[in-house]
Amino acid sequence: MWTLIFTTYGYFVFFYSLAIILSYVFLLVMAYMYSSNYRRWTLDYVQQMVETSPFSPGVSIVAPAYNEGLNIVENVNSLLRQKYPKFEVVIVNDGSTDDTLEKLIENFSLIEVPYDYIYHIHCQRFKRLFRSTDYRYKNLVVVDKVNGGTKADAVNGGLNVVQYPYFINTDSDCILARDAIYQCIFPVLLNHDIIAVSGTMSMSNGFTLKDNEIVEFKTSDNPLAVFQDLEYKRSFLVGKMGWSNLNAMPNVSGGYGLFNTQIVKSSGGYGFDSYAEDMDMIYRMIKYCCDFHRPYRVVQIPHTCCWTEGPSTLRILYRQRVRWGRGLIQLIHQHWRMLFNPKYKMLGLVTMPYTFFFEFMAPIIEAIGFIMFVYLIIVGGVNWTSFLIVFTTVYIFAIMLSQFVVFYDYILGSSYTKTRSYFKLFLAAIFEPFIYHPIITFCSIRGYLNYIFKTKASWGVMVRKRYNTDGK
Amino acid sequence: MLNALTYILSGTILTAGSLFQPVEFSDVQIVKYYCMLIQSFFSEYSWQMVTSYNITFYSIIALIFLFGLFCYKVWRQQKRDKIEKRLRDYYVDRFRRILGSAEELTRVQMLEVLGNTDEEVRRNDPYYYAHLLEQARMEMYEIVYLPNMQTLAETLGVCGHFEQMLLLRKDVFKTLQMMLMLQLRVNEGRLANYVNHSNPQIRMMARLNYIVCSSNEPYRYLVEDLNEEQSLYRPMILNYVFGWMKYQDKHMPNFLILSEQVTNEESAAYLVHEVAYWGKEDEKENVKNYFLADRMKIRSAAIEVVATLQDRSAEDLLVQSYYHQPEDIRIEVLKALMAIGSGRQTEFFKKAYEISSSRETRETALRCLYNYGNDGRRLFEIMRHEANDEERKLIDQVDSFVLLEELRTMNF
Repeated sequence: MWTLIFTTYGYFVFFYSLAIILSYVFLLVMAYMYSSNYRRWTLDYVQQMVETSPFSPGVSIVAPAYNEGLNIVENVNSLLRQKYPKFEVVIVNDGSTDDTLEKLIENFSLIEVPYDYIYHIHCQRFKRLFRSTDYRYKNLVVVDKVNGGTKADAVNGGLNVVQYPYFINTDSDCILARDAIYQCIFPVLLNHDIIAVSGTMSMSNGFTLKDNEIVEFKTSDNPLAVFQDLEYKRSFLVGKMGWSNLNAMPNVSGGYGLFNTQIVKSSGGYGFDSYAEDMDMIYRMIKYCCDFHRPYRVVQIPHTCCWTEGPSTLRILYRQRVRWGRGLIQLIHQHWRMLFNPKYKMLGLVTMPYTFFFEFMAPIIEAIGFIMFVYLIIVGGVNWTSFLIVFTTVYIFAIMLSQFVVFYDYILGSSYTKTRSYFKLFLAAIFEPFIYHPIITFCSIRGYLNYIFKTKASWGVMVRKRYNTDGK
Repeated sequence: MLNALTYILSGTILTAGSLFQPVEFSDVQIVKYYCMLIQSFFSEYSWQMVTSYNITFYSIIALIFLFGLFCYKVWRQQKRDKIEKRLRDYYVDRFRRILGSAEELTRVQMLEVLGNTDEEVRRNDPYYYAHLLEQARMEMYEIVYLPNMQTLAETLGVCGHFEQMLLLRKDVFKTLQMMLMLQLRVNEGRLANYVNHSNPQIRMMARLNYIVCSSNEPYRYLVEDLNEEQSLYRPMILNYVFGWMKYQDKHMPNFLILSEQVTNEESAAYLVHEVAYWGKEDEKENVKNYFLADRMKIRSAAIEVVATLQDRSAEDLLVQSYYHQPEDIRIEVLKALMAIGSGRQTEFFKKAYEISSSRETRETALRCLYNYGNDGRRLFEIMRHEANDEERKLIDQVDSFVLLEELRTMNF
């Protein structure tokens, strides 16, 4: 009986791994095709045109801030330095308990202004609205509201005051490229049906900032940050870009994405109780479009638009990934009716099944496999030659995939000032399967269990480091 | 059947298990040998193992290939950067001087500024010149028309390079983009292959270039294109192209007549909109007849045109049309009246505030009133005085936003 179970599971894992490998190869090809087509456009020209055209659409940047006092001034400055003719920055102070709001008031000459706040979409109670008396910060709006416990609630709070037809959802700890809005608005200019655009994100750990702008792009000395950087690049440049070609994007990252304001509002705004609010939002936007027979497209762009500070300690990483795991199971639970439902087109037939089988199930299958493997070692039931071959296959493929990502990042316009930064990524690719991947698997399972057993969740405190501003 | 081991002959380069004894190979045998050798590994095992082994093998090949490609790309990029830097250091300032000149320079004068003879100029690849011209153009993007661009590009061989690229079908899309943005005209025959190309992006770019290059019938494809238009990109770039045409004293299309021909409502509205920027006088006069057009987007565009032109003669027609407009167009009417700024519509703004069911319209009416000179501000204050608590919230909001704007201007 046990032999049968172990053999069946062994076969299942083999086919499962094969399917993942094939899906990645398919995504590599799709991503390459998509970005080749995209790279034919000379975006500098588009910038020139948008800069001077009376038809350029306005864009609001919505950035929630919760206890971001340490870097808030630099980050808001970076948001305000966007090179775009028509934009506003809406910072939502989500009931911070530190000096975030005071720093904003002091540094940006803010005053409280009367505002007739309308709750177009649900969020916790609005308290005050601030605008700047300084001409340089005329595009800045600060909304002060009661803490809602999730980022989703804070973004909804900001969405109730935005004035433009498109908005960018980002985090206040993110540093945006100066042309980030251009990059994201460009697909929308080309295709009216686009309801969301995902910009590529990268890690800012290790970068040097001068006058609120990144002057040196390099990989961090912290291995955790390098692992995350590689993970981000793989996710954006292969995963999302590949899905984008099929109009089957599973997610527009909460760190940086452009959305059609009207569609987001019509879909009811961000799920205020969601722990994967970005993924949930895309699912609900697509659901809305399919329900009302509105054509839609969600796309990924190959340019790095945003740098974010990744968790630099295991503790913070653990908390973040447990929350992501919890968000994923919540998403599957909330939207399971869309699974294999042809009404929801690619989302129902491709994206959601893929997310379910290869993202949600993967940590579970890995964990079971690991336990079985340990058991088999103890009882001496491992065929070591076969094990080594299969293990080498998965390992070498993972390294090849990472190397493709590194190569891809370079040809798309390198993320780093110096080419040698890529060598740290090569090293990370070699060690990732042994060090980083097990941690992430463990966190995901913990997140699932927390959701199933309804453990109380909190956002916790993200301990920030000040950016290196002197180049030392 | 051929077996890998049959290629190992005693007394040659290799024998089985020895690195020091030779094997005799000729031609493709060596390739065959390694293929067989690879296939023979794990051939005794189950197909799962063979599959795994093959994946490993091809992954390693891909890994080596990618690494090689990566190194090659880095090397090639560094080489290009080096050449471009050298040329940039020498030419960019000279290009700026030529392109920044308001008067048209001759080829000889240009060569003088460049400090080169014709042969010296042609020694470098026009590919690099095109990039340098591109950079110079970017720096001067606010100048719609650069009179010396065409001659300079011809002198540097860039036009010839582009024509060659189109002829050889190399990098067509990039070339068409560059031609358009550098405002270069090429022989319109070169575009013939592309104006009806099956790829919609190439077709669009070729047809935009056709407007610029054709001396015969530049707007031949305009209605067809705009009928199928579903994006903002073409209207935006057309606006740029029209501006350039206007500066060159080329014939402009009749936007209002074209708008009647275009069935796509958004495109038709776009054409009406263009009257404000590049329309003829009679079109500017006739646009008032579109305030009550059947298609709502055309109404909205016509109202925006008179607002942009600040046409006082349209004021009465705007007020009359207000009561026949849906709510979103009423907002446009209010904004247009404020932009015209005759000072005669204070009572109308008040009435619009009082009768509207939409908060947005009421807010716009208040904002218009507030910004409508002293009379408007006075009436605004009276309304504030008479308002209940709920209404006062909105009035205070409008007041504070406008005051803030004034404060910023003072601080600026």
